[in-house]
Amino acid sequence: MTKKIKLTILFCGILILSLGFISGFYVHKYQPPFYTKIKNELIIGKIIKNQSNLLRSKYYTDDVLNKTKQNEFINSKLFTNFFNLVSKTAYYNFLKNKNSLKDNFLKENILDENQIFFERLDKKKNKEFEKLHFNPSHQEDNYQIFQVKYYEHFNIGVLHKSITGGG
Amino acid sequence: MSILILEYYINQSRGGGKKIIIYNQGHNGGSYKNEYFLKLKSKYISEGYDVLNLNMPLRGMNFLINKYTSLPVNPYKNILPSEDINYPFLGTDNHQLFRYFYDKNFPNKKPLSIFLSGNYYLIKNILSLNNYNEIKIIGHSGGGLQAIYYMFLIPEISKGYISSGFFTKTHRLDNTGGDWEHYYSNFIMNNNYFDLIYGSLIDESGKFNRELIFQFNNLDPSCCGYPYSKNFVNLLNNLGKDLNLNLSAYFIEKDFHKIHLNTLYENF
Repeated sequence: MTKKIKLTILFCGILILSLGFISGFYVHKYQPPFYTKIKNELIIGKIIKNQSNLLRSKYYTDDVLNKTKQNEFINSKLFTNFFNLVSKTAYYNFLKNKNSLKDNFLKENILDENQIFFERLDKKKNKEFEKLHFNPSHQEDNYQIFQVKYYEHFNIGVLHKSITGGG
Repeated sequence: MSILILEYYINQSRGGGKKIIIYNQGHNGGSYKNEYFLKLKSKYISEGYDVLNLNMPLRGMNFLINKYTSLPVNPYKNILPSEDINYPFLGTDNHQLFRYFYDKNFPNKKPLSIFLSGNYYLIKNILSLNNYNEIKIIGHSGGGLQAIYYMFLIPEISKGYISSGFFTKTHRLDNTGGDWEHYYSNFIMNNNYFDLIYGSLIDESGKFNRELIFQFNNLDPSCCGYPYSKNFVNLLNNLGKDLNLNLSAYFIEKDFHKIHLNTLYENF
């Protein structure tokens, strides 16, 4: 092999590796639509197919599948009538109970105000939060972080403020 | 606290015109890693909205701060109602953690109160600080169920967009995805999801003046998937027409488990 050919192969190799590195970096970092499309088709599409394969395993014989026919069943008149009956009965019951329903729900399913502690985080905690949670490719400028605590349990809310002073 | 009070009075003096989008992410955790959230946040901020970003309990930005959680519990409250034990949980993102919550000092409070109260009080307090006159809510996946609870409870929220996160029990007879709160909370066991829909549509005067929009995707591999979702969309749209409610639903073809931004922007 001549020196010229060796150099050409080396050059091509480096070029291919560099192109692979650059495209790999961008594909991984930004996931352009064509990549996402292919990935979804290959990965998520496969998961869905696998789920249907699971249903077609040897225990789910054709006669069982034919008996179930879920898609046909939920689109049948029988199921539609059932939905209509339930939704409308629930509607008329709701009209009768609408005033007490929310009050009772609040009593049972929301803690009392004196059980919780609400505060705004200080600047130091904001910085820690920023490092842990914000997306490094997005600059977050105008925000406030709030916290609610009850027992030893915390919930965080981030209020991103509008530039035009909407809030 | 004094800073908060000062801000409140500054905002009061500025007058109206303030608007906010409340956003509740689902089980996949933090919002900031999702492109659709970053896009919708930028868009609405540029249109003059504040955006309040919330995650589910124990998920996303609520995960690390709850590495250690402690709650009063009593799985035997039926036979020992005057007892509870403060149990130190090692961090988890599993919502089943809440199922045995019981505080002997507040015996009427159900486990769902631990699940819902955090974001509920974040919303209530932030709304009261800023005097908004336009309030909307978006919820995705498990955050969709949370969003509809908040819309039901907070009548100031005028419009809701629920993406891939809500079925009535009629469509949960089979395994259609979801966590503890979708199947086993006391409220869900004893009530029907339709109350949440109707309750989210009435305003403070009890009139059906608020609006709910649902979105589902045909290739959703997690919760609320096809074929149930397509059927649910048709039935909901018919229900909205029959009862003259501001209720609509969209079924998106060839899309996965995420918010479909075009549908959101066109209808919300």
